[in-house]
Amino acid sequence: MKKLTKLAIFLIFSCFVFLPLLVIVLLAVGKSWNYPQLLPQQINFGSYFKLLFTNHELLTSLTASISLALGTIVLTISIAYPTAIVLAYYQFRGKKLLNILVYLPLIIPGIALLTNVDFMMIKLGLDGSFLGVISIHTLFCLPYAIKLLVDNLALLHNRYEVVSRNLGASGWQTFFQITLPLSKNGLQGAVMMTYIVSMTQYLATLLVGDGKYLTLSVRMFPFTQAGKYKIAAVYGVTFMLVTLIPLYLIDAWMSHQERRVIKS
Amino acid sequence: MTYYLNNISQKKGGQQILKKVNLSINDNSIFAILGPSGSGKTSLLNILARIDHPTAGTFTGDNEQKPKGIMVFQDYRLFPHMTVFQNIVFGLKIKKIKKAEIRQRAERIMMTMEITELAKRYPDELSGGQQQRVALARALILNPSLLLMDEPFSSLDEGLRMEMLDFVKKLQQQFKLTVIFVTHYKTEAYLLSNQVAILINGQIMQIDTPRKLEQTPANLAVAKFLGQANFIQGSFQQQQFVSSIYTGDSDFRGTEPVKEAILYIPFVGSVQLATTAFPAFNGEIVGTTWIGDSERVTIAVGSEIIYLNLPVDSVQINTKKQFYFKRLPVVY
Repeated sequence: MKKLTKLAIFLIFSCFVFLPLLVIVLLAVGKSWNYPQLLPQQINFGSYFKLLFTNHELLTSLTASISLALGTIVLTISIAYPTAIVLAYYQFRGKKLLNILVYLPLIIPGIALLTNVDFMMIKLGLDGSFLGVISIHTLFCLPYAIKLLVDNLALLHNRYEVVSRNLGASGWQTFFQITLPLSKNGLQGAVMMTYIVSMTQYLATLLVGDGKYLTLSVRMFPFTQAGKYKIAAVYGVTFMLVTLIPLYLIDAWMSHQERRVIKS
Repeated sequence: MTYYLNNISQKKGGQQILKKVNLSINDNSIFAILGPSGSGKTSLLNILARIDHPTAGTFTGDNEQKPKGIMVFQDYRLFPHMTVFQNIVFGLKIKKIKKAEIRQRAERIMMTMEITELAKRYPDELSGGQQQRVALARALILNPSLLLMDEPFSSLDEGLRMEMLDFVKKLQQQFKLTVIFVTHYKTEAYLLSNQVAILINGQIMQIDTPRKLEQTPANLAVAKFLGQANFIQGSFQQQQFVSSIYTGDSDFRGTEPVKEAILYIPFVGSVQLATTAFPAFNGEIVGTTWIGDSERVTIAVGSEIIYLNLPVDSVQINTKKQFYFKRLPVVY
């Protein structure tokens, strides 16, 4: 009975997650898929790769998405990491309030926040600039990154930093030799989450980017609206690949590092 | 170098953790601070390690204005991402000491601590005893003049605890260290140190030898913390203690005559069967329990029950005996 329930849950999960994915993949690689055929008449992976490497728009979108994501990672981590250290290690007045304020970008309705931030960006002359776009991406990534880092740091508290200082290390030596290596898991989670959130930003990129940053998600949206499902699916698959492959690589690298530690 | 703790107080979140702690600790000795959980022991040690600052008072030494103790933590706190070797040399590496010297000193200390074969292991691959040796090595490689140990043996099992107690004694002599260690186990404090300070509620209540502590605790709080004693309710009137089991002269430790006084009779070393000038009470032996080197004897004195540790087979059950105080009994 238990096995049956497990199987049913697995099938339902598959229907919700894998079936739509399968449809997108088939749309991207299939040819002449017309009603009432259940599957495409022809599968051609070559056409997908040909489109991927020859379509100029797709390649520029890919570059824009990745460069914005990387910029967002740098900005997010440089703000989130010190904030997380302060929130996890120090006691100060207003700490509870700061803990709530961190989640504000997720609590305030996106469109209200975006229009006002866009107004601010115009005033500051950052509208349409790389810094402007990664700043708005960072705003949405910060809550996730801070939460992941705080949870990781709070787990160890500052118990090892105290030892390091007692043994004579300076603040910076302690940070580089103790805090940073011990935050590896939290940083990995924060980088992964920031990458995903940045890649999926549509409205923020469009508004603050002033239409200059046509990322994968920005380009994908009009295609689906216009019924160009084939090209939208190609964008969709590419989007998934550039999101999943780096995540897999980071995860594999981290696991390799851990195995190396155990082995040695 | 003698170390001085002058009026050290600490307040955190409106709570007074340490209250005017005054101590002087001799060079090349082991000094124990004994107290119940939450008495401020670790806070005091953190101040001596310069991990924390006192809200008032100073910690000074004969030759040093700001001495700093190197701490061995209760949970050892070996850096989990470093090998045993890397942990041990951490303090030298950050001082940018030459590699050859680091290696030489590390090898020497690992040999002393008998952990040479563990050099390449990570902390999670070590037993509790091994972790403690590594933590000690990490501190001792820095040649500290003051070593601080926070509940050093509390996470070890009985056999290993005794082994490590001896080992620390040996290290203290070998390295000519001043060791300050805090514990809530009085046996550990007594075994390791001749000078024990009792810290209760952030205050030093008494500094004495283990023997004196047990025989004449400074006040009721110390007596109750040390435990292993009978506390007999009574009153103190006209220079005499009056209770249902004993009425007579006493070593009164109170400040003025009080209606309610307490007679302190520790299980060990206070009462005997051999006659002295201080008759105590006449009681019936109602039970005996073997506890190794002696017997825990249960004595009924009227409606009161008294427990004493007496030599094995010195009394028989259901017999009546007259007991004597070894010296004038202490009353609080």
